[in-house]
Amino acid sequence: MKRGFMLILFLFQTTVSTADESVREEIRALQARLAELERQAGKPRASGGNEFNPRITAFGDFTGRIDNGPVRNENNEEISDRFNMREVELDLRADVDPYAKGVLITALSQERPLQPASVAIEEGYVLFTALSRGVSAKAGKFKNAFGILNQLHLHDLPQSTLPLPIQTFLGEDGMAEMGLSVHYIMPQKNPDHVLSLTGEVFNGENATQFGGVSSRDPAYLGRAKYYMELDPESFMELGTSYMNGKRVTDNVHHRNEVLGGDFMYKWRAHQPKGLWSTVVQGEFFYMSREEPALAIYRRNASGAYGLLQIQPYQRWFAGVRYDRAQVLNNKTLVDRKIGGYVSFYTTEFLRLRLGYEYQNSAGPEIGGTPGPDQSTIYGQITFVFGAHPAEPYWFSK
Amino acid sequence: MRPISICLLLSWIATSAGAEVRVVATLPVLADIARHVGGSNVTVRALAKGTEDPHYVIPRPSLAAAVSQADLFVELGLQFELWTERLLDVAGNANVMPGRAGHVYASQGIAPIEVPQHLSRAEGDIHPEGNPHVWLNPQNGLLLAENIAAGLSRVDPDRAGDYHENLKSFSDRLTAKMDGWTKQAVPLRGFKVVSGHREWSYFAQAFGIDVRGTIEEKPGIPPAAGHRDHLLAQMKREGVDRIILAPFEVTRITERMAALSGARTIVIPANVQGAPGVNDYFALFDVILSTLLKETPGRGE
Repeated sequence: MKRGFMLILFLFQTTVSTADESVREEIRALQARLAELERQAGKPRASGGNEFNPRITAFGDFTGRIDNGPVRNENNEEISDRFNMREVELDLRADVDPYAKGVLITALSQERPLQPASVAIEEGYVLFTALSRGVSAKAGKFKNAFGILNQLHLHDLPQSTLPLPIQTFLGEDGMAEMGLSVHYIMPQKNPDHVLSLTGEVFNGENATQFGGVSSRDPAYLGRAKYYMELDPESFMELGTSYMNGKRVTDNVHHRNEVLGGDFMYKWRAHQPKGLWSTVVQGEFFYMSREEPALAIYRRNASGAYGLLQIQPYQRWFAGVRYDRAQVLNNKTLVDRKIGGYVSFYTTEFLRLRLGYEYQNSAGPEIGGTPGPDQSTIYGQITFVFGAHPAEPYWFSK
Repeated sequence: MRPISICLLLSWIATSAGAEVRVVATLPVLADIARHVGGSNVTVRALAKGTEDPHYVIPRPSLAAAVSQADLFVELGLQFELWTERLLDVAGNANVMPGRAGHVYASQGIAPIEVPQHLSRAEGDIHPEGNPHVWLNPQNGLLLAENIAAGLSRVDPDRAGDYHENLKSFSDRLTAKMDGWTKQAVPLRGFKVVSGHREWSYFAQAFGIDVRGTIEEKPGIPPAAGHRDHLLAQMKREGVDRIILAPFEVTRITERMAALSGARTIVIPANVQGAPGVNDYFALFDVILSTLLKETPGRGE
């Protein structure tokens, strides 16, 4: 009797165990099938953005200003105390083929109140990415690699305005010319130190430096930048730029040179408990221009700015900037500007900014009427929508 | 002359054959897996630091220089590293551009979770293709390793056998560790927490912790007052008294949230090199699990 009971129990256990095993097998098979389906479903998602259509980003830059007196632009139109949709920028970029990318940045801007908006190609170039290790090249119209801030678009600037020396030496909106640019990252022995070189040749027709007339003489630009990682949270850059071209006045061509130096230090906390980040930056410009009609033969002028920005909270940035620039045609006259700003990012796509600038102009003021003193309070709203923007790596991160 | 030429040629062949493959990976966790799979055939550099937020790495010139010299570039994909495009553009290294043999999307084949049903910036900025923190489920580690091994075999086919063997060793070790971790994590099943960012979903999937909410309102979006109040009420209602944070998430915002809720903060690494002792992928889970178990009274080892 006992033996019979044991036999039944054994058979029962074996049956249950076999059934368990079979269920487990079934679960394993289903899990494998599910994983395979998940893999198939997930496959296209990891392919990254390589769509045929260009990625489109739109930037809007809306400003308002309050001035302590009437301010007029170079066309004698009053620009003080008003709102202005300063710029709407459309950024399109896509792979052209396996060897190159295309970038087109157009801007609709209304710099003159009560006038129709103007459309301009801010940049439009093909970027060759498959030349050689460390080498990339641009052909088209692009922001010239002179210094640091000249390479940024208006909406990427840490303040509402370009520094005075950039406007004085490179143009009111900076310098963006048509030509060729080659960038080379030197092979590095020390991974924390990088030397990069840029060479450019472009039409020498910039209004500020080369007379703004059609010219067969190209201009040349060279830039060297040395980058150092100081520790995991901070780095520093030292750069020098040199530009050479011919200035055309009365059909006579004169040599024109601009030399620049720049530095930038950035610290950003990986584990922010107090300050999140700090940027200290400055640029120096020196121009030397042949003026055979003058007794002195050569005219020169210089300018510089310094900037300090802190990030006290994740979404808050504040900074001050001091500008100084000698007037090109009379270096005994000096324009000065000092200003501060506070920026708040709701996200990286929407920024609100409040700024104040005091300018003491000794000569004809850029973008405004001549006047010894001018105080302006700026409000600015910058918004971005569309594809993720390519951002400068040192300010808003 | 001829013997010298032959010697030089042989020497060049020997040098070429023994040359290490230069792997540059965006994240320390991918770099570590590449080290395991590549073994002595590779040199590996991670671009992001383990202590920094991998969503917001600054694309610095030193990183572009590293990419310019890479034979294999490994990024996670799922639009996680939005900062790599700028690096690839200036690096001028055609071999590692997306679509080329030297480029790997390590998340290829992993089905992401939390994929937005409605893709809009209003849903936050940084998880447009779903939650990209896939490496925090060790089962996904196998797929990451498979993709990296495939990439290494493409750029260095002569040693594909080595990579296959190393992958198997990695896989065996991970499977064995996974069994141990699963047993170790039993007390954590159903353990309710709030996290800083939505990065622990895959870990929860693997080990059963219950992430009830995030301090961030949406991925990449700091909390507004309404979200904060809602989360505080939820934590009180559901009895959630622990907040888990990666080291770079310990900020005034999260500290204030902890103070307001009365919850205890548990800081755990979310990446290899994210804390002392987290030297590889296996140590990452060892440390996360032991920290969670130690910091949760009544559930400890």
